[in-house]
Amino acid sequence: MTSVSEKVLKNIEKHKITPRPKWIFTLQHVAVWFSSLVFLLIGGLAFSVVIYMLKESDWRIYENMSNSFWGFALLVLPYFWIIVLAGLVILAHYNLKNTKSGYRYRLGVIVLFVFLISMIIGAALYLMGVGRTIDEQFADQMPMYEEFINKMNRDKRIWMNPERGLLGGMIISVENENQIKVSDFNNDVWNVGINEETLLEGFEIGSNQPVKIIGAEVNDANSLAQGERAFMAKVIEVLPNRDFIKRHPMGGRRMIEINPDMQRQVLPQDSFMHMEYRDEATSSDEVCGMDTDCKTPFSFSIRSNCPFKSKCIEKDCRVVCEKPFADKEAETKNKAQCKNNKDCDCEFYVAEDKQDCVCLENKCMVIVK
Amino acid sequence: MDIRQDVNLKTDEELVILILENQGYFTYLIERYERKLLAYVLRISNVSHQEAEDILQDVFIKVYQNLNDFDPDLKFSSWIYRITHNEVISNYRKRRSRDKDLVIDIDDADLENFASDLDITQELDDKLLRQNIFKVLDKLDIKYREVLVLKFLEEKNYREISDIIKKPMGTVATLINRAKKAFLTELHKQSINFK
Repeated sequence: MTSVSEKVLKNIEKHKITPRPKWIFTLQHVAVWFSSLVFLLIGGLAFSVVIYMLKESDWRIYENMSNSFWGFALLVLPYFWIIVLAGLVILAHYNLKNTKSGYRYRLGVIVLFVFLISMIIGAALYLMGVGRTIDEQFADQMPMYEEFINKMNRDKRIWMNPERGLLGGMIISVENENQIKVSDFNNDVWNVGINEETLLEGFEIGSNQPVKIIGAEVNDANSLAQGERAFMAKVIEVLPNRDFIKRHPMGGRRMIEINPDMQRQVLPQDSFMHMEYRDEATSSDEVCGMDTDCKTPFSFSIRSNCPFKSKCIEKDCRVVCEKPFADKEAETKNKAQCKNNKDCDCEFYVAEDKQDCVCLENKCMVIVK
Repeated sequence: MDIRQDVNLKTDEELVILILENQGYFTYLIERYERKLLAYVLRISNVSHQEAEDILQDVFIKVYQNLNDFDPDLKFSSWIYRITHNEVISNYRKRRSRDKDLVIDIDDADLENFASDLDITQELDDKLLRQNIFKVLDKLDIKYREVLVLKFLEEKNYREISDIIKKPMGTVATLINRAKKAFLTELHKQSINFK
Protein backbone atom coordinates (compact mmCIF):
# COMPACT_ATOMS: atom_id res chain seq x y z
CA MET A 1 0.00 0.00 0.00
CA THR A 2 1.47 3.35 -1.01
CA SER A 3 1.47 6.48 1.12
CA VAL A 4 -1.24 8.08 -1.02
CA SER A 5 -3.56 5.11 -0.73
CA GLU A 6 -2.89 4.89 3.02
CA LYS A 7 -3.74 8.54 3.52
CA VAL A 8 -6.85 8.31 1.33
CA LEU A 9 -8.19 5.28 3.16
CA LYS A 10 -7.44 6.86 6.54
CA ASN A 11 -9.31 9.99 5.48
CA ILE A 12 -12.27 7.97 4.28
CA GLU A 13 -12.43 6.14 7.57
CA LYS A 14 -11.81 9.20 9.73
CA HIS A 15 -14.45 11.34 8.12
CA LYS A 16 -16.77 8.38 7.46
CA ILE A 17 -16.91 9.20 3.79
CA THR A 18 -19.25 7.09 1.72
CA PRO A 19 -20.24 7.13 -1.93
CA ARG A 20 -23.13 9.51 -2.51
CA PRO A 21 -26.35 7.66 -3.32
CA LYS A 22 -27.29 7.37 -6.98
CA TRP A 23 -30.59 9.19 -6.56
CA ILE A 24 -28.76 12.45 -5.81
CA PHE A 25 -27.02 12.33 -9.16
CA THR A 26 -30.23 11.32 -10.92
CA LEU A 27 -31.96 14.30 -9.31
CA GLN A 28 -29.15 16.61 -10.42
CA HIS A 29 -29.39 15.41 -13.99
CA VAL A 30 -33.17 15.73 -13.99
CA ALA A 31 -32.88 19.25 -12.55
CA VAL A 32 -30.47 20.27 -15.31
CA TRP A 33 -32.76 18.94 -18.04
CA PHE A 34 -35.84 20.44 -16.40
CA SER A 35 -34.30 23.88 -16.12
CA SER A 36 -33.17 23.63 -19.76
CA LEU A 37 -36.76 22.93 -20.76
CA VAL A 38 -37.97 25.85 -18.65
CA PHE A 39 -35.51 28.20 -20.35
CA LEU A 40 -36.61 26.87 -23.73
CA LEU A 41 -40.25 27.47 -22.87
CA ILE A 42 -39.61 30.99 -21.61
CA GLY A 43 -37.54 31.58 -24.72
CA GLY A 44 -40.57 30.49 -26.71
CA LEU A 45 -42.74 32.98 -24.83
CA ALA A 46 -40.26 35.76 -25.58
CA PHE A 47 -40.15 34.71 -29.21
CA SER A 48 -43.94 34.84 -29.45
CA VAL A 49 -43.81 38.49 -28.35
CA VAL A 50 -41.07 39.21 -30.90
CA ILE A 51 -43.18 37.69 -33.66
CA TYR A 52 -46.24 39.64 -32.46
CA MET A 53 -44.39 42.94 -32.43
CA LEU A 54 -42.78 42.41 -35.82
CA LYS A 55 -45.65 40.84 -37.67
CA GLU A 56 -48.24 43.31 -36.49
CA SER A 57 -46.14 46.40 -37.08
CA ASP A 58 -47.35 48.60 -39.89
CA TRP A 59 -44.63 47.90 -42.46
CA ARG A 60 -46.49 49.77 -45.19
CA ILE A 61 -45.62 53.09 -43.51
CA TYR A 62 -41.86 52.60 -43.56
CA GLU A 63 -41.44 55.35 -46.14
CA ASN A 64 -43.21 57.80 -43.83
CA MET A 65 -41.00 56.98 -40.86
CA SER A 66 -37.61 56.33 -42.35
CA ASN A 67 -35.45 56.76 -45.41
CA SER A 68 -35.35 53.03 -45.97
CA PHE A 69 -37.12 49.82 -45.16
CA TRP A 70 -34.20 48.67 -42.99
CA GLY A 71 -34.15 51.98 -41.20
CA PHE A 72 -37.78 51.42 -40.25
CA ALA A 73 -37.00 47.82 -39.30
CA LEU A 74 -34.42 49.11 -36.84
CA LEU A 75 -37.07 51.40 -35.38
CA VAL A 76 -39.64 48.69 -34.78
CA LEU A 77 -37.34 45.86 -33.66
CA PRO A 78 -38.41 44.74 -30.16
CA TYR A 79 -34.96 45.12 -28.60
CA PHE A 80 -36.10 44.34 -25.08
CA TRP A 81 -37.53 40.98 -26.07
CA ILE A 82 -34.61 40.18 -28.35
CA ILE A 83 -32.24 40.73 -25.40
CA VAL A 84 -34.46 38.58 -23.17
CA LEU A 85 -34.50 35.88 -25.83
CA ALA A 86 -30.72 36.03 -26.24
CA GLY A 87 -30.28 35.73 -22.46
CA LEU A 88 -32.53 32.69 -22.32
CA VAL A 89 -30.75 31.04 -25.25
CA ILE A 90 -27.44 31.52 -23.42
CA LEU A 91 -28.86 30.06 -20.20
CA ALA A 92 -30.36 27.09 -22.02
CA HIS A 93 -27.06 26.53 -23.82
CA TYR A 94 -25.10 26.62 -20.56
CA ASN A 95 -27.48 24.11 -19.03
CA LEU A 96 -27.39 21.76 -21.99
CA LYS A 97 -23.61 21.77 -21.96
CA ASN A 98 -23.78 20.39 -18.42
CA THR A 99 -25.86 17.40 -19.40
CA LYS A 100 -24.28 13.96 -19.80
CA SER A 101 -23.16 14.45 -23.36
CA GLY A 102 -24.04 18.06 -24.08
CA TYR A 103 -20.39 19.14 -24.02
CA ARG A 104 -19.74 17.07 -27.16
CA TYR A 105 -21.60 19.55 -29.33
CA ARG A 106 -20.10 22.81 -30.49
CA LEU A 107 -21.44 26.15 -29.28
CA GLY A 108 -23.00 27.00 -32.63
CA VAL A 109 -24.88 23.71 -32.83
CA ILE A 110 -26.38 24.07 -29.37
CA VAL A 111 -27.28 27.73 -29.82
CA LEU A 112 -28.92 26.94 -33.16
CA PHE A 113 -30.82 24.04 -31.63
CA VAL A 114 -32.04 26.15 -28.71
CA PHE A 115 -32.98 29.01 -31.03
CA LEU A 116 -34.94 26.74 -33.37
CA ILE A 117 -36.87 25.12 -30.52
CA SER A 118 -37.68 28.56 -29.09
CA MET A 119 -38.79 29.66 -32.53
CA ILE A 120 -41.12 26.70 -32.98
CA ILE A 121 -42.60 27.11 -29.52
CA GLY A 122 -42.81 30.87 -30.06
CA ALA A 123 -44.65 30.50 -33.37
CA ALA A 124 -47.20 28.16 -31.82
CA LEU A 125 -47.74 30.50 -28.87
CA TYR A 126 -48.05 33.50 -31.17
CA LEU A 127 -50.83 31.77 -33.10
CA MET A 128 -52.64 31.27 -29.80
CA GLY A 129 -52.42 34.98 -29.05
CA VAL A 130 -49.92 34.55 -26.23
CA GLY A 131 -47.48 37.14 -27.62
CA ARG A 132 -50.04 39.88 -27.50
CA THR A 133 -51.28 38.81 -24.07
CA ILE A 134 -47.78 38.93 -22.60
CA ASP A 135 -47.17 42.38 -24.06
CA GLU A 136 -50.45 43.64 -22.62
CA GLN A 137 -49.89 42.04 -19.21
CA PHE A 138 -46.40 43.52 -18.91
CA ALA A 139 -47.84 46.90 -19.85
CA ASP A 140 -50.54 46.55 -17.20
CA GLN A 141 -48.08 45.61 -14.49
CA MET A 142 -45.07 47.77 -15.32
CA PRO A 143 -45.44 51.47 -16.15
CA MET A 144 -41.90 51.66 -17.57
CA TYR A 145 -42.66 48.79 -19.92
CA GLU A 146 -45.92 50.40 -20.96
CA GLU A 147 -44.18 53.69 -21.63
CA PHE A 148 -41.22 52.47 -23.66
CA ILE A 149 -41.85 48.98 -24.96
CA ASN A 150 -45.56 48.17 -25.16
CA LYS A 151 -46.59 47.77 -28.79
CA MET A 152 -49.81 49.73 -28.48
CA ASN A 153 -48.02 52.71 -26.97
CA ARG A 154 -45.30 52.46 -29.55
CA ASP A 155 -47.88 52.35 -32.33
CA LYS A 156 -49.52 55.38 -30.78
CA ARG A 157 -46.23 57.31 -30.96
CA ILE A 158 -45.77 56.29 -34.58
CA TRP A 159 -49.28 57.42 -35.47
CA MET A 160 -48.79 60.79 -33.80
CA ASN A 161 -46.79 62.05 -36.78
CA PRO A 162 -49.13 64.15 -38.94
CA GLU A 163 -46.14 65.98 -40.40
CA ARG A 164 -45.02 62.60 -41.78
CA GLY A 165 -48.51 61.82 -43.01
CA LEU A 166 -49.54 59.57 -40.13
CA LEU A 167 -52.53 60.39 -37.99
CA GLY A 168 -54.07 58.23 -35.29
CA GLY A 169 -56.89 58.79 -32.86
CA MET A 170 -60.60 58.39 -32.52
CA ILE A 171 -63.43 59.43 -34.83
CA ILE A 172 -65.47 62.07 -33.04
CA SER A 173 -68.13 62.46 -35.69
CA VAL A 174 -69.00 61.69 -39.27
CA GLU A 175 -69.82 65.06 -40.83
CA ASN A 176 -70.72 63.72 -44.23
CA GLU A 177 -69.48 61.15 -46.72
CA ASN A 178 -66.42 63.29 -47.49
CA GLN A 179 -65.46 64.43 -44.06
CA ILE A 180 -64.96 63.07 -40.58
CA LYS A 181 -63.69 64.69 -37.42
CA VAL A 182 -60.91 62.91 -35.56
CA SER A 183 -59.41 63.60 -32.16
CA ASP A 184 -55.75 62.64 -32.09
CA PHE A 185 -53.72 61.50 -29.09
CA ASN A 186 -52.86 65.07 -28.21
CA ASN A 187 -56.56 65.86 -28.22
CA ASP A 188 -56.25 68.07 -31.27
CA VAL A 189 -59.27 67.92 -33.51
CA TRP A 190 -58.74 67.21 -37.18
CA ASN A 191 -61.01 67.59 -40.15
CA VAL A 192 -60.13 64.62 -42.27
CA GLY A 193 -61.08 64.75 -45.93
CA ILE A 194 -62.12 61.63 -47.83
CA ASN A 195 -62.25 61.47 -51.64
CA GLU A 196 -62.79 58.79 -54.27
CA GLU A 197 -59.21 57.64 -54.03
CA THR A 198 -59.24 57.20 -50.30
CA LEU A 199 -58.82 53.55 -49.38
CA LEU A 200 -61.03 52.43 -46.51
CA GLU A 201 -59.88 49.40 -44.55
CA GLY A 202 -61.13 47.50 -41.56
CA PHE A 203 -64.55 48.30 -40.18
CA GLU A 204 -67.08 50.79 -41.48
CA ILE A 205 -66.57 54.37 -40.39
CA GLY A 206 -68.62 55.51 -37.44
CA SER A 207 -68.26 57.73 -34.42
CA ASN A 208 -66.12 56.74 -31.50
CA GLN A 209 -63.98 54.33 -33.46
CA PRO A 210 -60.20 54.19 -33.31
CA VAL A 211 -58.53 54.93 -36.63
CA LYS A 212 -55.17 55.03 -38.33
CA ILE A 213 -54.95 57.44 -41.25
CA ILE A 214 -52.21 57.75 -43.86
CA GLY A 215 -52.24 60.91 -45.90
CA ALA A 216 -51.02 64.44 -45.59
CA GLU A 217 -51.68 67.48 -43.51
CA VAL A 218 -53.24 70.31 -45.51
CA ASN A 219 -53.64 74.02 -44.88
CA ASP A 220 -57.31 74.78 -44.52
CA ALA A 221 -58.28 78.27 -43.43
CA ASN A 222 -61.76 77.24 -42.29
CA SER A 223 -60.44 74.54 -40.03
CA LEU A 224 -57.79 76.76 -38.59
CA ALA A 225 -60.38 79.40 -37.87
CA GLN A 226 -62.24 76.88 -35.71
CA GLY A 227 -59.07 75.83 -33.90
CA GLU A 228 -58.90 72.61 -35.82
CA ARG A 229 -56.41 71.11 -38.26
CA ALA A 230 -56.98 69.50 -41.62
CA PHE A 231 -55.78 66.25 -43.07
CA MET A 232 -56.38 64.62 -46.45
CA ALA A 233 -56.64 60.84 -46.17
CA LYS A 234 -55.19 58.33 -48.63
CA VAL A 235 -55.86 55.35 -46.41
CA ILE A 236 -58.19 55.07 -43.43
CA GLU A 237 -58.02 51.94 -41.34
CA VAL A 238 -60.81 51.61 -38.81
CA LEU A 239 -59.78 49.40 -35.91
CA PRO A 240 -61.95 46.87 -34.15
CA ASN A 241 -61.09 47.61 -30.55
CA ARG A 242 -60.39 50.38 -28.13
CA ASP A 243 -56.92 49.20 -27.19
CA PHE A 244 -55.40 51.59 -29.67
CA ILE A 245 -56.59 54.45 -27.53
CA LYS A 246 -57.10 52.75 -24.18
CA ARG A 247 -53.61 53.59 -23.02
CA HIS A 248 -53.95 57.27 -23.77
CA PRO A 249 -53.77 58.99 -20.38
CA MET A 250 -56.94 60.95 -20.94
CA GLY A 251 -58.84 58.19 -22.74
CA GLY A 252 -61.83 59.69 -24.48
CA ARG A 253 -62.91 61.96 -21.64
CA ARG A 254 -61.33 65.20 -22.67
CA MET A 255 -62.66 65.25 -26.20
CA ILE A 256 -66.12 65.57 -24.74
CA GLU A 257 -64.98 68.37 -22.47
CA ILE A 258 -63.69 70.30 -25.45
CA ASN A 259 -67.12 70.48 -27.01
CA PRO A 260 -70.08 69.20 -25.05
CA ASP A 261 -72.14 69.32 -28.25
CA MET A 262 -69.97 66.50 -29.54
CA GLN A 263 -71.42 64.27 -26.88
CA ARG A 264 -74.61 64.07 -28.88
CA GLN A 265 -72.64 63.15 -31.95
CA VAL A 266 -70.61 60.52 -30.13
CA LEU A 267 -73.53 58.32 -29.28
CA PRO A 268 -75.80 58.02 -32.32
CA GLN A 269 -76.79 54.40 -32.26
CA ASP A 270 -77.35 54.03 -36.00
CA SER A 271 -73.82 55.01 -36.97
CA PHE A 272 -72.34 51.90 -35.42
CA MET A 273 -72.04 48.78 -37.46
CA HIS A 274 -70.14 45.53 -36.99
CA MET A 275 -68.91 46.57 -33.58
CA GLU A 276 -68.78 43.79 -31.02
CA TYR A 277 -69.23 46.08 -28.09
CA ARG A 278 -72.52 47.37 -29.45
CA ASP A 279 -74.21 44.23 -28.26
CA GLU A 280 -76.49 44.69 -25.32
CA ALA A 281 -75.57 43.24 -22.00
CA THR A 282 -76.84 39.88 -20.96
CA SER A 283 -80.14 40.45 -19.20
CA SER A 284 -80.07 40.23 -15.47
CA ASP A 285 -82.85 37.62 -15.68
CA GLU A 286 -80.45 35.22 -17.31
CA VAL A 287 -78.24 33.08 -15.09
CA CYS A 288 -74.51 33.07 -15.82
CA GLY A 289 -71.84 30.48 -15.04
CA MET A 290 -68.67 32.48 -15.74
CA ASP A 291 -67.53 35.96 -16.71
CA THR A 292 -67.51 35.16 -20.42
CA ASP A 293 -71.27 34.54 -20.26
CA CYS A 294 -71.72 38.26 -19.62
CA LYS A 295 -71.30 41.20 -21.99
CA THR A 296 -70.70 44.79 -21.00
CA PRO A 297 -73.59 47.06 -22.01
CA PHE A 298 -72.72 49.45 -24.80
CA SER A 299 -73.50 52.52 -22.71
CA PHE A 300 -70.78 51.51 -20.26
CA SER A 301 -68.25 50.54 -22.94
CA ILE A 302 -68.05 54.07 -24.22
CA ARG A 303 -67.90 55.81 -20.88
CA SER A 304 -64.61 57.48 -20.29
CA ASN A 305 -64.28 57.42 -16.50
CA CYS A 306 -63.57 53.71 -16.19
CA PRO A 307 -62.81 50.63 -18.31
CA PHE A 308 -65.95 48.81 -17.23
CA LYS A 309 -66.09 45.04 -17.35
CA SER A 310 -68.75 42.40 -16.90
CA LYS A 311 -68.37 39.76 -14.25
CA CYS A 312 -70.50 36.84 -13.21
CA ILE A 313 -71.10 37.33 -9.49
CA GLU A 314 -73.32 34.81 -7.72
CA LYS A 315 -74.69 33.66 -11.09
CA ASP A 316 -75.69 37.20 -11.98
CA CYS A 317 -74.07 39.44 -14.61
CA ARG A 318 -72.85 42.69 -13.03
CA VAL A 319 -70.98 45.62 -14.47
CA VAL A 320 -67.92 46.49 -12.39
CA CYS A 321 -65.23 49.11 -12.31
CA GLU A 322 -61.85 47.88 -11.11
CA LYS A 323 -59.77 51.00 -11.56
CA PRO A 324 -60.32 54.44 -13.05
CA PHE A 325 -58.69 55.90 -16.16
CA ALA A 326 -56.09 58.52 -15.62
CA ASP A 327 -56.11 58.74 -11.85
CA LYS A 328 -52.71 57.26 -11.10
CA GLU A 329 -52.94 57.94 -7.38
CA ALA A 330 -56.22 56.11 -7.01
CA GLU A 331 -54.96 53.32 -9.20
CA THR A 332 -51.90 52.92 -7.00
CA LYS A 333 -53.99 52.89 -3.79
CA ASN A 334 -56.37 50.42 -5.29
CA LYS A 335 -53.64 48.03 -6.41
CA ALA A 336 -53.17 46.62 -2.89
CA GLN A 337 -54.71 43.21 -2.60
CA CYS A 338 -57.78 42.69 -0.45
CA LYS A 339 -58.99 39.63 1.38
CA ASN A 340 -62.61 40.60 2.03
CA ASN A 341 -65.05 43.44 1.42
CA LYS A 342 -64.02 45.23 4.60
CA ASP A 343 -60.59 45.94 3.06
CA CYS A 344 -62.17 48.06 0.30
CA ASP A 345 -63.61 51.56 0.24
CA CYS A 346 -63.54 52.25 -3.55
CA GLU A 347 -63.00 55.98 -3.02
CA PHE A 348 -61.64 56.18 -6.54
CA TYR A 349 -65.13 55.87 -8.05
CA VAL A 350 -67.14 59.06 -7.59
CA ALA A 351 -70.12 58.68 -9.97
CA GLU A 352 -73.61 58.41 -8.56
CA ASP A 353 -74.32 54.98 -9.97
CA LYS A 354 -72.06 53.20 -7.49
CA GLN A 355 -74.09 50.36 -5.99
CA ASP A 356 -71.56 48.42 -3.99
CA CYS A 357 -67.85 48.08 -3.22
CA VAL A 358 -66.61 44.47 -3.02
CA CYS A 359 -63.44 42.43 -2.91
CA LEU A 360 -63.30 40.04 -5.91
CA GLU A 361 -60.26 37.99 -6.96
CA ASN A 362 -58.26 39.90 -4.30
CA LYS A 363 -59.05 43.21 -6.00
CA CYS A 364 -61.40 45.99 -4.88
CA MET A 365 -64.16 46.63 -7.42
CA VAL A 366 -67.19 48.89 -7.69
CA ILE A 367 -70.44 47.29 -8.82
CA VAL A 368 -72.44 49.78 -10.83
CA LYS A 369 -75.21 47.71 -12.37
CA MET B 1 -4.97 -17.16 -7.47
CA ASP B 2 -4.93 -14.60 -4.70
CA ILE B 3 -7.26 -11.63 -4.46
CA ARG B 4 -4.75 -9.21 -5.90
CA GLN B 5 -4.21 -11.29 -9.02
CA ASP B 6 -7.93 -11.77 -9.32
CA VAL B 7 -8.56 -8.01 -9.03
CA ASN B 8 -5.82 -7.19 -11.52
CA LEU B 9 -7.78 -9.12 -14.13
CA LYS B 10 -10.89 -7.03 -13.55
CA THR B 11 -11.68 -4.10 -15.82
CA ASP B 12 -12.04 -0.65 -14.26
CA GLU B 13 -15.80 -0.85 -14.57
CA GLU B 14 -15.91 -4.23 -12.82
CA LEU B 15 -13.66 -2.86 -10.09
CA VAL B 16 -16.06 0.05 -9.53
CA ILE B 17 -18.88 -2.41 -8.91
CA LEU B 18 -16.73 -4.32 -6.42
CA ILE B 19 -15.80 -1.09 -4.61
CA LEU B 20 -19.45 -0.12 -4.23
CA GLU B 21 -20.03 -3.46 -2.54
CA ASN B 22 -16.85 -3.45 -0.46
CA GLN B 23 -14.82 -0.34 0.28
CA GLY B 24 -11.70 -2.46 0.67
CA TYR B 25 -11.32 -2.85 -3.09
CA PHE B 26 -10.71 0.88 -3.44
CA THR B 27 -7.04 0.34 -2.62
CA TYR B 28 -6.60 -1.55 -5.88
CA LEU B 29 -8.11 1.28 -7.87
CA ILE B 30 -5.80 3.79 -6.22
CA GLU B 31 -2.79 1.62 -6.97
CA ARG B 32 -3.91 1.23 -10.57
CA TYR B 33 -4.10 4.98 -11.20
CA GLU B 34 -1.86 6.63 -8.66
CA ARG B 35 1.35 6.76 -10.69
CA LYS B 36 -0.32 7.82 -13.93
CA LEU B 37 -2.37 10.55 -12.30
CA LEU B 38 0.55 11.85 -10.25
CA ALA B 39 2.59 12.25 -13.43
CA TYR B 40 -0.36 13.96 -15.10
CA VAL B 41 -0.81 16.37 -12.20
CA LEU B 42 2.89 17.23 -12.20
CA ARG B 43 2.95 17.75 -15.96
CA ILE B 44 0.11 20.19 -16.15
CA SER B 45 0.17 21.98 -12.83
CA ASN B 46 3.76 22.77 -12.01
CA VAL B 47 3.31 22.12 -8.29
CA SER B 48 5.75 20.36 -6.00
CA HIS B 49 5.67 16.61 -5.57
CA GLN B 50 4.15 16.94 -2.12
CA GLU B 51 1.43 19.26 -3.36
CA ALA B 52 0.75 16.92 -6.26
CA GLU B 53 0.21 14.08 -3.78
CA ASP B 54 -2.15 16.31 -1.78
CA ILE B 55 -4.12 17.04 -4.93
CA LEU B 56 -4.19 13.37 -5.75
CA GLN B 57 -5.61 12.53 -2.33
CA ASP B 58 -8.43 14.98 -2.94
CA VAL B 59 -8.97 13.41 -6.35
CA PHE B 60 -9.31 9.90 -4.99
CA ILE B 61 -11.67 11.03 -2.24
CA LYS B 62 -13.84 12.72 -4.86
CA VAL B 63 -13.69 9.61 -7.00
CA TYR B 64 -14.88 7.54 -4.07
CA GLN B 65 -17.70 9.93 -3.20
CA ASN B 66 -18.93 10.11 -6.78
CA LEU B 67 -18.63 6.48 -7.82
CA ASN B 68 -22.39 6.26 -8.26
CA ASP B 69 -22.17 9.06 -10.82
CA PHE B 70 -19.83 7.10 -13.07
CA ASP B 71 -21.47 6.67 -16.46
CA PRO B 72 -20.57 3.32 -18.07
CA ASP B 73 -20.93 4.95 -21.50
CA LEU B 74 -17.71 6.76 -20.69
CA LYS B 75 -14.32 5.11 -20.29
CA PHE B 76 -13.43 4.96 -16.61
CA SER B 77 -9.95 6.36 -17.30
CA SER B 78 -11.53 9.40 -19.00
CA TRP B 79 -13.79 9.88 -16.01
CA ILE B 80 -11.02 9.72 -13.44
CA TYR B 81 -8.79 11.96 -15.57
CA ARG B 82 -11.67 14.42 -15.78
CA ILE B 83 -11.94 14.58 -11.99
CA THR B 84 -8.17 15.01 -11.77
CA HIS B 85 -8.22 17.74 -14.40
CA ASN B 86 -10.99 19.62 -12.59
CA GLU B 87 -9.16 19.34 -9.28
CA VAL B 88 -5.93 20.65 -10.77
CA ILE B 89 -7.71 23.59 -12.43
CA SER B 90 -9.50 24.38 -9.19
CA ASN B 91 -6.22 24.26 -7.28
CA TYR B 92 -4.49 26.35 -9.95
CA ARG B 93 -7.13 29.09 -9.72
CA LYS B 94 -6.80 29.21 -5.94
CA ARG B 95 -3.06 29.36 -5.88
CA ARG B 96 -2.02 31.00 -9.16
CA SER B 97 1.55 30.59 -8.10
CA ARG B 98 4.27 28.47 -9.53
CA ASP B 99 7.17 26.65 -8.14
CA LYS B 100 9.94 27.15 -10.61
CA ASP B 101 12.40 24.45 -9.76
CA LEU B 102 10.49 21.48 -11.03
CA VAL B 103 11.10 18.77 -13.47
CA ILE B 104 8.45 17.12 -15.49
CA ASP B 105 8.86 13.41 -15.66
CA ILE B 106 8.94 12.48 -19.34
CA ASP B 107 10.12 9.16 -20.55
CA ASP B 108 11.95 8.67 -23.82
CA ALA B 109 9.01 7.32 -25.74
CA ASP B 110 6.86 10.28 -24.77
CA LEU B 111 9.66 12.65 -25.65
CA GLU B 112 10.08 11.15 -29.10
CA ASN B 113 6.39 11.26 -29.67
CA PHE B 114 6.20 14.89 -28.68
CA ALA B 115 9.26 16.01 -30.60
CA SER B 116 8.37 14.22 -33.82
CA ASP B 117 4.91 15.64 -33.96
CA LEU B 118 6.27 19.15 -33.54
CA ASP B 119 9.00 18.51 -36.06
CA ILE B 120 11.81 19.20 -33.66
CA THR B 121 14.91 17.36 -34.63
CA GLN B 122 16.10 14.60 -32.41
CA GLU B 123 19.75 15.18 -32.88
CA LEU B 124 20.23 16.77 -29.52
CA ASP B 125 20.88 15.06 -26.30
CA ASP B 126 17.64 13.73 -24.83
CA LYS B 127 18.32 15.27 -21.45
CA LEU B 128 18.68 18.71 -22.98
CA LEU B 129 15.57 18.18 -25.04
CA ARG B 130 13.65 17.01 -22.00
CA GLN B 131 14.61 20.07 -19.97
CA ASN B 132 13.86 22.47 -22.81
CA ILE B 133 10.47 21.03 -23.52
CA PHE B 134 9.65 21.46 -19.87
CA LYS B 135 10.72 25.12 -19.93
CA VAL B 136 8.58 25.85 -22.92
CA LEU B 137 5.55 23.94 -21.61
CA ASP B 138 5.91 25.84 -18.37
CA LYS B 139 5.38 29.12 -20.21
CA LEU B 140 2.28 28.07 -22.04
CA ASP B 141 -1.27 28.90 -21.00
CA ILE B 142 -2.71 26.00 -19.00
CA LYS B 143 -5.40 25.32 -21.63
CA TYR B 144 -2.66 24.65 -24.21
CA ARG B 145 -0.39 22.82 -21.81
CA GLU B 146 -3.10 20.39 -20.75
CA VAL B 147 -4.07 19.34 -24.29
CA LEU B 148 -0.43 18.88 -25.31
CA VAL B 149 0.20 16.78 -22.23
CA LEU B 150 -2.94 14.70 -22.74
CA LYS B 151 -2.26 14.15 -26.44
CA PHE B 152 1.48 13.57 -26.56
CA LEU B 153 2.50 12.56 -23.07
CA GLU B 154 -0.58 10.77 -21.78
CA GLU B 155 -1.32 9.50 -25.32
CA LYS B 156 -5.03 10.09 -25.17
CA ASN B 157 -7.06 10.18 -28.36
CA TYR B 158 -9.36 13.04 -29.34
CA ARG B 159 -12.50 11.42 -27.93
CA GLU B 160 -10.81 10.77 -24.60
CA ILE B 161 -9.47 14.32 -24.40
CA SER B 162 -12.96 15.62 -25.27
CA ASP B 163 -14.42 13.56 -22.39
CA ILE B 164 -11.69 14.67 -19.97
CA ILE B 165 -11.84 18.42 -20.54
CA LYS B 166 -15.55 18.38 -21.53
CA LYS B 167 -15.20 20.14 -24.82
CA PRO B 168 -16.34 19.09 -28.31
CA MET B 169 -13.84 17.09 -30.38
CA GLY B 170 -13.64 19.86 -32.95
CA THR B 171 -12.65 22.29 -30.22
CA VAL B 172 -10.04 19.83 -28.96
CA ALA B 173 -8.50 19.62 -32.43
CA THR B 174 -8.43 23.40 -32.67
CA LEU B 175 -6.88 23.69 -29.22
CA ILE B 176 -4.16 21.20 -30.08
CA ASN B 177 -3.31 23.08 -33.27
CA ARG B 178 -3.14 26.34 -31.43
CA ALA B 179 -1.16 24.74 -28.61
CA LYS B 180 1.43 23.47 -31.09
CA LYS B 181 1.77 26.93 -32.61
CA ALA B 182 2.02 28.49 -29.16
CA PHE B 183 4.66 25.93 -28.22
CA LEU B 184 6.76 26.69 -31.31
CA THR B 185 6.40 30.42 -30.78
CA GLU B 186 7.56 30.05 -27.20
CA LEU B 187 10.36 27.84 -28.34
CA HIS B 188 11.69 30.54 -30.65
CA LYS B 189 11.17 33.19 -27.99
CA GLN B 190 13.41 31.30 -25.66
CA SER B 191 15.90 31.11 -28.50
CA ILE B 192 16.37 27.47 -28.13
CA ASN B 193 17.82 26.27 -31.31
CA PHE B 194 17.39 22.65 -31.90
CA LYS B 195 18.73 22.65 -35.38
